[in-house]
Amino acid sequence: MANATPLHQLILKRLHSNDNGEECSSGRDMKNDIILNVSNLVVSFNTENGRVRAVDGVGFKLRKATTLGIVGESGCGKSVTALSIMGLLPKPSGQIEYGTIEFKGQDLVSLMGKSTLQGKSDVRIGAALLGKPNIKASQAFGLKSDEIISQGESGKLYDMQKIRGRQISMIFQEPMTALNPVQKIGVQMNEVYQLHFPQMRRRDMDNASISMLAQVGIATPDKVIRQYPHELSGGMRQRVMIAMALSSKPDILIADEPTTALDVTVQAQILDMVNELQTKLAMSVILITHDLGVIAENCDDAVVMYGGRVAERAGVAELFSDPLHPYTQGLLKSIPGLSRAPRSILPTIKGQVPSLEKMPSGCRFSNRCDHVMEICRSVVPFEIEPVKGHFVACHKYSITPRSDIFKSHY
Amino acid sequence: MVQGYIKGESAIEDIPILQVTRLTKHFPVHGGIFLRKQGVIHAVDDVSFDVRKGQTLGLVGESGCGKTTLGRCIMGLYPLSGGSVKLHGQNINDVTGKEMKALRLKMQMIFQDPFESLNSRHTVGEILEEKYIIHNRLSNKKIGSVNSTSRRQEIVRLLERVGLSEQAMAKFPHEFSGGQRQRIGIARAISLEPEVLICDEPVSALDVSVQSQILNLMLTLQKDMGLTSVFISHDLAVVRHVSDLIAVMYLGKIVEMAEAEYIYSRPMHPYTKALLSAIPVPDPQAKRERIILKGEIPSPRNPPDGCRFHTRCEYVMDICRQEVPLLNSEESLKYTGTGDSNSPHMVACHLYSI
Ligand SMILES: Nc1ncnc2c1ncn2[C@@H]1O[C@H](COP(=O)(O)OP(=O)(O)OP(=O)(O)O)[C@@H](O)[C@H]1O
Ligand SMILES: Nc1ncnc2c1ncn2[C@@H]1O[C@H](COP(=O)(O)OP(=O)(O)OP(=O)(O)O)[C@@H](O)[C@H]1O
Ligand code: SF4
Ligand code: SF4
Ligand SMILES: [Mg+2]
Ligand SMILES: [Mg+2]
Repeated sequence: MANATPLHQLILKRLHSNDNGEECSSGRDMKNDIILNVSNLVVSFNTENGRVRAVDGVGFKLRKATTLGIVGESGCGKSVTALSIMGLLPKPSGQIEYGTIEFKGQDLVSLMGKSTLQGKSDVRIGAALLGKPNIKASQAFGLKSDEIISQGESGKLYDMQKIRGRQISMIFQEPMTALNPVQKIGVQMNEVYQLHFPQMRRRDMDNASISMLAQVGIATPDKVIRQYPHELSGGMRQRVMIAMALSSKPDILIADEPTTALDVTVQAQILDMVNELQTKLAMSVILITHDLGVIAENCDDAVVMYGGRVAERAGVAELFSDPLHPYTQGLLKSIPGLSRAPRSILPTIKGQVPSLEKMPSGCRFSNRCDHVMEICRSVVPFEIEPVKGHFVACHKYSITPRSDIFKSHY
Repeated sequence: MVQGYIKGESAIEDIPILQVTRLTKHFPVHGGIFLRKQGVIHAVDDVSFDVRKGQTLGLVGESGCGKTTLGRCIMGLYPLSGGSVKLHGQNINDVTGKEMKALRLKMQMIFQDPFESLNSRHTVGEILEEKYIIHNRLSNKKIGSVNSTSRRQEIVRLLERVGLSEQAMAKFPHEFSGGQRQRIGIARAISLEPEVLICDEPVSALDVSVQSQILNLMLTLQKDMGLTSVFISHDLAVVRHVSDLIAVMYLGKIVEMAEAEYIYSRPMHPYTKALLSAIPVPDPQAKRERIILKGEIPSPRNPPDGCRFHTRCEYVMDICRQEVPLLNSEESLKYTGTGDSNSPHMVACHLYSI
């Protein structure tokens, strides 16, 4: 740690400029650097009906200083993917069976495997990330409260913990699961500094908290640090959580439906703020949502998930102008848009998302797909790249010559 | 005088079926050790509108602005603090006992999560049959057969109408997915051939790929049955798709009301403009001017004086802090130039009354 400059000033410096030392000053276009590379991730859970794969071979790349959107319907595995990256899967029922998560070239999955304290240290990370041993937050990850407290009290840092929470932060849909209801905001924010910057002085922490809260658009930060979470509105709580997540100066911010519970005008405020900070801090963001509009307006790249797998991924402009997967195509057609004739019958995707236990074999979309073929019901489609940078997992494209692909949807 | 005209695909007649006049609903707030009344929540304040036969009024606004409360007041589920609700010219709060119950059966409500409103211990068949039984006890006009086998036939037809099969009859609500449960909720609501349907966020809890199925079902039924409806949602794209008329609410008041297309093409109220500009559009090429509102919605316990939007409005003037702007069709017609005397484009904002 550089002791010459007080830490909060370092943080402020980083907040106010893109130039934050060795990582970003190189001057070349860093947007093509891959900061996070998830490949072939398989995550399963123990359930009453045996082990089920909630995430089954998910892969994508996050480019430096860009926003990647993950979109998909309820239960398609968005949160499980995010929790896997954070090392916050509920233990012991959730397990990464296969795959790698490379962060700056280092595989987090094997790093996790090395730790003998695997489950427990992850738990502590979860709690630490969110403040002190936070009973409510940790319970959200399926833990018993006594376990959390005892785990949370020992303060030693492990490799994993250094990476997660400090270099990768996560914010959740419902801030109340992450905020401690009986502690003032300021106290909770200071705990993040204590954990990551133990030499920081109390006064500097307070100042850093205040300026961080101001950064996320809170008008009266000096008042808010003395308030309890319940005294704040939903939008303010979400801002506080973002401020906490950013106070460790993460390289990656994972936002899991950060605005789903909020009103549209507040959602617009929060997303604008995240975009602004993303540019300012040259941070990479993973934005999880079920709203295609949010993806279109806020992301550079997007991953469309269905039934625990990646159906399609591409740059956002490409994905919306030329969707390839039948599921993406159906979804885009079916949403009532302002450009559609009022009261007209909307195109639909038939049926509904099956539960994990009832997923069809082969392509998981095969029971709802209008283009289904024999092969789809038995063979899992591999991801292919029919257009550069545009990946799709669908048999239509693996057995059709390329020229036909384009004919078929014009 | 019955003057029918065709709007969109459904026939709308000039008779107001549902008339809401100066409706006000306050909830008392209790607190302290003796739980004394400490104030009131102004959930709905001085709201008026007419919905004509076959028409759909869309009600939009952000969380807590009073949409559900207004819907429940129309259904007669809450005593009113002021104003009236009339169905076919008859004040629903005036009639009593059996008569009132029969009148209320003409209005049905669909909820966001039908699971909460469906009795989990009864099969779908029983749930749907119960409605007929209650109705026939209350009303002189019998619906459905008394004979149980032909009633069964009717329930099967009803299920098919909402896209479910006969097998659904023997199952319990929890055995269905969200979309299917919403279909059951719709089946129950339309089983008695109501005239008015109040839909409170009927697709908000559903998966995106299932929402369009349910919207299509509702549009089809509405057209076939000539239903008059109030459609509550915070999703402006959905509301625009199903509504003839749209009312935008803010903190318990209607701030703007007009035919759906005018709300979107020529929004007048600063709040409506901000709301529309905030909807994320699934088109990365769309370049839009976004109006970012400052601050958040004030508490309905202490709504701001004058215009309730003045704490967040970029055009705020002195008068806005003192005088409540009225939803004035005469005045605003001059400015909007949209709408006609039948369905004027109305706006409650001092910008349009000076
Ligand atoms: N602790 C758990 N035990 C068993 N199954 C789980 C557990 N957590 C998640 N799952 C299952 O994994 C699947 C993916 O869940 P996930 O929470 O990732 O979905 P999601 O895409 O985030 O959905 P939503 O949009 O509703 O948040 C679901 O089918 C879910 O039931
Ligand atoms: N039964 C009640 N008792 C006391 N206050 C209530 C009651 N029902 C609603 N309120 C209050 O009245 C206001 C309006 O609530 P309402 O549920 O009608 O809003 P809404 O527009 O439907 O919001 P949402 O979009 O979140 O459903 C809120 O401040 C709410 O807290
Ligand atoms: S693989 Fe087959 S079933 Fe699956 S999306 Fe493609 S065409 Fe449809
Ligand atoms: S009345 Fe005044 S404060 Fe209210 S919306 Fe109009 S200009 Fe804004
Ligand atoms: Mg989730
Ligand atoms: Mg409501």
